This record gives sequence, structure tokens and C-alpha cells, in this order.
Amino acid sequence: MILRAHKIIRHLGVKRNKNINNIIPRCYSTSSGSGQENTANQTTNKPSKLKIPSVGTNEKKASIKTESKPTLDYEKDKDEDEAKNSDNTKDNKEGSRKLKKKIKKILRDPYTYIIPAILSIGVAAYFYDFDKKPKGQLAKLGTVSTTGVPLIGGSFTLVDTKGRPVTDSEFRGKHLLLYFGFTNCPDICPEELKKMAGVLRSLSPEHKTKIIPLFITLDPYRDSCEAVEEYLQEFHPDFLGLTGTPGQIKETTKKFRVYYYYPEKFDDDDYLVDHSMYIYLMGPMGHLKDYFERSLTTNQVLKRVQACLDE
Amino acid sequence: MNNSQRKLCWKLRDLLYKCQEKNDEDNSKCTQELEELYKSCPISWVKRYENRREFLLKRGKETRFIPEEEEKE
Repeated sequence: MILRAHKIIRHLGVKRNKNINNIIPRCYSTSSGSGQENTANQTTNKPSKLKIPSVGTNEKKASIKTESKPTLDYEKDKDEDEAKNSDNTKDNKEGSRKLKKKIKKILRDPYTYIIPAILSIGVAAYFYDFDKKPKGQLAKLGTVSTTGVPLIGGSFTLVDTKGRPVTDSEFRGKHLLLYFGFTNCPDICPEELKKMAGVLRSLSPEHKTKIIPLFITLDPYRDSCEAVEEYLQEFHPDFLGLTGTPGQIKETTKKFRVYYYYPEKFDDDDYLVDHSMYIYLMGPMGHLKDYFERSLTTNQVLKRVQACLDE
Repeated sequence: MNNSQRKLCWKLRDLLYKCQEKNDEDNSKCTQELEELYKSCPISWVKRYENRREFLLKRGKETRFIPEEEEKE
């Protein structure tokens, strides 16, 4: 089948100079039916001539036998059969030699390799994993889709505790440990912020230079710059706080996929904002590296933060 | 609300939780703690603290709270 394919490919392609001398015309081939006359010319490719067999050469023993001895009919047949058989073995040798030559020729020919190459590419493509999965920390994000980096984060414009406008670009090159909450939070926000403060205190000085703790309020109506500033002093001096207009907060929470909900009636000053409670770890290019649920302890968060900072 | 007020509320909350733990979430036996909470803290906070433990137990979650004192490691 390979030979046939090879022939097809060759015929499709360029014309090649045929070496006439390499072709053995059939009429001159030493087939078994030709008998004694051509036994002398088995090794040559040229058209045979009648030659008188000489005494002493191994090749011509069969012919000597049949010519010199007077034989009976059946013996003659026997000898002829022997001659035929010897011819057959010699033919087989010749045939195998020719086959080897043919194979070598095919292997030298570049057209041979086209089909195997296509097949091997197909097999490789079949086994290659095209849906590459993210490695390392991102692979641990259980509920988030694993076919790529989750689309959390993005550009934002907010206001810091000194009233100065701040954009996300100011944090490029540093990791962000980010939490969304509000100052009038009864229990959850203080616990998460305490966790973050605990992580910060346990980091090495080298790691501390790489990371910025950030708090963004979800309650701009009550959380003024001063309120946020005062609130954060309770936890860690390095904490940065951001607030802004309700519109700015809304835009930012959309990009971080933060859920938050005001109760229906909040005319007076006393209400709670229901919100998602994750601590986000953003990378130096502004993409999400990891996030931490409320159920994790300070030490567990610390280890994962250290692993990300070491990357 | 400033930080000192918050700290006070959290202490009172811890007391309420201890009482509730002793009395199997029976609020009728922790009226003193609740009264103090209603005095010093916003109503939204007290309402949340009152039923927080019960809510967590129903959901099958740990009623884990970290009192202020234990946090200082």
C-alpha cells in the first residue's frame, strides 16, 4: 500500500529522469521457465547470449549435470526440477535484492514522507491538550471557571482618604490585598480586616514592600474620607482606604463582581449593607491572582499570599 | 460611630454570645446583656447579634466568634 501511495505521489509531482539502465525488461529476466540456456547470465543485467558452460564454476553445475549425463526421463524431470528450484532460490535472492533496492529508493525519495508526516501531525493534534488550564494558584479557584483567568478587576477611579482622586494605575507593579466593606459593619468586615492585618504583620519586610492593603467602601453615603481613615487606624497603619461617589463605587464593584445590597428603606442613618465577603489578591498587572473566603484562617491566607508574592 | 463605640459594642456582643452559649440560645435568660446592647449600639447591630448564633446553627455552620481578647496574639 505504501508503494502504491508512493507511486501516486510521484505521478502527481515533478517529472523525473528515468534511468533506463536500472529498468530490467521482463523478456530478459531469469524466470524459472527459461531453463538451462540462461543460467549463465543470472548475475548480469544485459541481454543474454548463448555461452558454452565452462567446467569448475558453481553456478553452472546444474547445466553441466543435465548436459553431460545420459538420464532417464523421470530423472531428467527431477534434474530439471532441481534446476528450477535452484533457479527459484536464485530468483528469490535476486528478487529480494531488487526489493531491497526498491525500498532504498523509496526511502531516499522525499515524497514518501508526506503521508506519514500528515498522519503524525494528525495524531499529535488529537492527543495535544488544546484547552490549557492555568497552573499554580489559579488552579485552586474552585467555583471560578478553569478555562482561563477569571475576568475580575479592571480600571477604576476612586477617592482616597485625603480627598485625592486615585486610579488603579497607581498600584501597578505591586500586589493588592483588597477588601470591599463598610465602616458600619457589625462583625464580618472587622474580622476580615483583622485577618488582613494579621497577614501583613506576619509578612517579611521584603514581602511587605510588594503588597498594599486596600479597603474600598460600599457605603459612600455614610463613609466619608475621614470616617474611612479613622476606621482603618484600628487595624493597621499601612491600610489604604478608598471611597468615592455612588457612581464610582458602582462602576468599581461591577468590575470586581462584588455583590452588595442596600435595604429598601434607608432613610435614617442606621442600616446594614449586605455584601460579598471575599478578600482579593490582585497581581502587579492588575489581574486577579487569588481570593480568600471567610472560612479561611489568618495562617491559611498568609501562606497563599506568600506563595503568590514569591512567584 | 467612632472606634471606641464600636469596640464597646463588640465587647457587649461577646458577652451576649457567651450567655447564649450557656443557655442554649435562649434569649429570655440574657435580657441584661441585650438591654446593654440596646443602650450603646445601633439597633441594626443588636438585631443582627440577637439571632446570629441561631441563624448559623440552623445553616449548619460553626457558630464561631472570635472575642476581642483572644484575637490579640
